[in-house]
Amino acid sequence: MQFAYLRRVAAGGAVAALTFVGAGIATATPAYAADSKVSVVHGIPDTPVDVYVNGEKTLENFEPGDVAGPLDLPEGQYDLALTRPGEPIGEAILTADDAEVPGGANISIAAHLNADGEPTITPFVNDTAKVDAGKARLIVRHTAAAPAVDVRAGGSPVFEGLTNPNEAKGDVDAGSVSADVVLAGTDTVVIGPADLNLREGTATIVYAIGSAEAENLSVVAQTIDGLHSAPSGVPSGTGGQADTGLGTWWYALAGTGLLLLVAGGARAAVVRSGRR
Amino acid sequence: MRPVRLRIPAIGVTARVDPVGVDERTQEFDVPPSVDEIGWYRYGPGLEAESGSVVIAGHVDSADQGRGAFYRLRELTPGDTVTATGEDGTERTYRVVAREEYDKTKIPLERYFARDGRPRLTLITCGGPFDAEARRYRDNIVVTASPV
Repeated sequence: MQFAYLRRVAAGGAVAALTFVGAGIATATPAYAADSKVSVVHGIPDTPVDVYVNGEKTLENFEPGDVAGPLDLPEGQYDLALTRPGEPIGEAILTADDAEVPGGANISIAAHLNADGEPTITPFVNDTAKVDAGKARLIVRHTAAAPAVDVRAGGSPVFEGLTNPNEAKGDVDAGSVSADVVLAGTDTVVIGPADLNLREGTATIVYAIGSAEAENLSVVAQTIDGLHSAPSGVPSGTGGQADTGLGTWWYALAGTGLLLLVAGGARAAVVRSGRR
Repeated sequence: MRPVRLRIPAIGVTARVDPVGVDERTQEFDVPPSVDEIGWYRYGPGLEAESGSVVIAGHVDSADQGRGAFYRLRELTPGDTVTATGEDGTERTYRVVAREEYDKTKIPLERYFARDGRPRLTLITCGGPFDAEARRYRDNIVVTASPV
């Protein structure tokens, strides 16, 4: 539905109102909205650009494959424009007006090629929920002029049938994995293999960029840290020698109490039987 | 920087430190099975870190091996020193500033495993009353030490 909406808007004019890819904007926005963290990702091959936000030059000579930010931006609507370095904003090669930045979110705005090879801008909401202790989050975004792909780790598919401009994600054991990208349902490798170091307590976001036709597919990676959790406990004793609790005298006392109860019960029984 | 050895003169401890993570199944701190060895939480800060809590945990005891390296951890008092040796041989000394005891169901682990805040060394073991049936201590003992 989101995709259809984007297509319709794109058909309606040169300027696209942006809809965020990724779920949960509405639920992730607190009643009192803080600034959002906004990163910018350059995934258009061979085209360094200047980036304008609301008419002001914010990034100069931004190179393909670079990630900038995060910037702290208040909730609101922003006009984005990309020009060739040094050229006036009036000659922008790519613009997006009224890009909606929600409050308190973590966002990446990617300039990239769509599936047909046309430059476009796609904003993604980054999942910054905590990961369990020992885990790392892997997010893969298809932002390349290429058909559907599968992402493999250690030779087996982890994400299948991913298409431009969508993402797939999962929380995995932290550590190094060898990953590659194949055409969906095939063993035809189009990117990699490359070693990904998925650090514990972080999200690693990998963007597939470039063009299959131009044979310049590659990846850009972005990392978000601080998503770690503490272990669920520290179990460190099974012997009982250090028992400081109530100690053996407590068990002795409990034993005595039990005896008293038994005795009391017996007496009650006696009394009952006496009344009969 | 990974710690390889820990010395606590006040309670006669010199123990090897192993880098550990979490138990795959339970997400709990993977305390080394040998009670003579103690574990450093390798996902958290190392000795060189300028912020956050370096966490080392060890057994107080075990049913089959007897007393552990941290058997007397609860005897530490403020002012006692703890010396950690890094894998490069450099020694760093810390001074005990606090000893706390928490019911395991109430311990604020997020605070002790924080990767921000003042640099500190956090030592954890078990303590309190022992449930002989579950083979489990009710509490955790936590000792916090600051770099000297």
